[in-house]
Amino acid sequence: MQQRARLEEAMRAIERAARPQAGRSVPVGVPGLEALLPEGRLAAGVLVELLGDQPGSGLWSVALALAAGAGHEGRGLLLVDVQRQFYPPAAVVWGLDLQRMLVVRPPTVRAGLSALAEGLRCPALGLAVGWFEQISRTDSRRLQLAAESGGGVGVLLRPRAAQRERSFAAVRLRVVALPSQGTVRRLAVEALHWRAGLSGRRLTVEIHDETYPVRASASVAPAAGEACPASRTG
Amino acid sequence: MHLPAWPLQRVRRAQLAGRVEPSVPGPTVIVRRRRQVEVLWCSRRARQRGLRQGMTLAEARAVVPEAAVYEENPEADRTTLLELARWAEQFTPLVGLEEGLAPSSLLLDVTGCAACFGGESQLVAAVQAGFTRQGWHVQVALADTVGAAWALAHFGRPLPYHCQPGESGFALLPLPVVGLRLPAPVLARLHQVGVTSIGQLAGMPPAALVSRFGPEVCRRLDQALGRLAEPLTIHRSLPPIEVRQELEHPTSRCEEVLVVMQSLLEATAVALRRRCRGARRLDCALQLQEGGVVTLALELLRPGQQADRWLEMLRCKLEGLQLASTVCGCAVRVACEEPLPEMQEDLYAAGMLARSWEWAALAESLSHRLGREQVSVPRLVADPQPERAYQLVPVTTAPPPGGEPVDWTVLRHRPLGLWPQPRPLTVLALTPPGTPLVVRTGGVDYRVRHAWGPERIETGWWRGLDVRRDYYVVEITTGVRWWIFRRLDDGRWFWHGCFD
Repeated sequence: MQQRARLEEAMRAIERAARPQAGRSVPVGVPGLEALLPEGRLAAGVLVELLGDQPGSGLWSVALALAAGAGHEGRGLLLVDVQRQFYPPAAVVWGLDLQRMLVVRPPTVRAGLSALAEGLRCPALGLAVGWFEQISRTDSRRLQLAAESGGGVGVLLRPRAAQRERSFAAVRLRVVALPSQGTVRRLAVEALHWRAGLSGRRLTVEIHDETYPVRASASVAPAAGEACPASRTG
Repeated sequence: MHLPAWPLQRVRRAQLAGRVEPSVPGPTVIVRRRRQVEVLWCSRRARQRGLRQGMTLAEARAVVPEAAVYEENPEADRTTLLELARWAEQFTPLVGLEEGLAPSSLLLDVTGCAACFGGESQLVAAVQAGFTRQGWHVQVALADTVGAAWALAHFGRPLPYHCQPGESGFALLPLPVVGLRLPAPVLARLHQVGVTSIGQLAGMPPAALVSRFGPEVCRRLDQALGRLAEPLTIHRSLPPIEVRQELEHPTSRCEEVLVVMQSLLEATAVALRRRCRGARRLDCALQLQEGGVVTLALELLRPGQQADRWLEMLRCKLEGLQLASTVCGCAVRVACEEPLPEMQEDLYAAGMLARSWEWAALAESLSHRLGREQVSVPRLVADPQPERAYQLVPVTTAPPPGGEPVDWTVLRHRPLGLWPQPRPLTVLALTPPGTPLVVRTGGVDYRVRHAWGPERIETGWWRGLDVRRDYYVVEITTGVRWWIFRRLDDGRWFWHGCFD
């Protein structure tokens, strides 16, 4: 165990040296979601993958909740809307500043990926998000390097079938809509991250439609064979 | 020359030109945000319907729900007024704006210009007719001093007012004291003691005026009566910056054209630095050997002087261009220039400004690479029809501050995903209240677990293609929520969006 802990610390030190920006934490817009993130925080300059079945699984809700936290210190939000379905009036209730939002509706998916990469390289970016049905390993790696250089957070919305693909994302979360309780929308968020032993951890995110706080509720379910962590409630 | 209710006139002109919605003018209000949103200006139709300055927006909407609401935009007001000043240079080269943060008057020094128009009366008539022909409502007055002309344009009757030389002092006497452009506290003190006209002030000893009301009253009175000179800040439009170069050997090679363009862009940047101004839009023209000109526009989010950035933008545009023949000449013209933004000294503000510049550079680069219409900033519109409740404004156009004030309580019940066109839906079963119970789309049946609504959305019949819909939020058994509506005209159902 001690040897494993030393090896993990050595890996983290190597990664910190390779990615100086990773030392900076980005505020997470969903209180409690840190439990599903490596080292319990959202590091700057990373890729996050949210997987779910479109439409209605809650991918955009989780993405915009992350964006609300990443837009600190006047950083901007880049939204690549390949499907041309994003509805800006609904984004206002998430506390996003539309004046600091760029909506890109690219003519092709490739142009959208290119725009996302360019946005991630910009130091003024807080978070960039876009839905992409297919992404090659080369494009995924390119996006990861772009996020590392710019220091923002890249959020890729992918279909659930992409779970089988290898990814360069530091965080992979699967989002599934759950039956609501009254008017409170509920989403199940599960970590698919294959490092740091987070795979399998689950959280329920509640969205109160009347007042719009978003928080993680219920205890974090541990992965199989893992000791049960201290109870966390939102 | 005074333009009454200038912000309202500017907005009405934009409505008629189709630059803002609605394009058909109706009751119009301009609001400003203080502790609450309050009405600043009302159109005549809005006043006839009972709206008044100072009402809150909620009160105004309760009285006139269909009123078009715009947020105040002093920058646009000033910019448009400067365009009018440039146009007014046909009457005199000396045109200025009145002092203050929200000018609504133009000051034209026409000394020595009357002879060109056949006399002062003809000059006044020409100014009045010229602006009226363009659709502006103006009040024109000609007097010996700036102060007298301002007062007569605002309060003199009849209009246009032509004051003969040497008679400005007499013309001012019956006018109200507010015509002297005094601060509001001074005006309040004057009204308290019963001083309402300029004539009353002119009859009081200067020492008494200064001791009771301050030096400003004497200063303005002396300026209006010609006893004290009042300098006029002239707005003079500079000739546009344009540089061109003929190619000794016509070429179709992109690299060679870029070399020529680089020198032209650097010369343009030097000319802008001399003026301490930046370019917002550059027109880069390529003269073709076999006739014709290809013009490539570079639009920038912020005024700048960086030739290397312009060259990169131009390179992106040239790479995808197929020219009909070889290029024999190049030209660069600054189509729009503006003062450079101020630099911040505060560290935090400097950091924010630096980030702002980086963000602007990203927006410009994306816009030039993907296309102007593909990169935009969302702006809310106070329209009940969901598809029209927002605009995607190209980022390189002048961004309006804030957009229209909207009802946030309504936005809570809007989905993050809205289909470009509502998709037909089949409702197989309804509950007794009329909410959907089973729906079918794409050949698959879905059972509705919860339904909220209806929310009725109707637009006015005067809009032409009006809509009348009852919207429902339905949650199917998997927990996914849809936004569907029943069209009231024919009872058909549609799936409009998804709460993703």
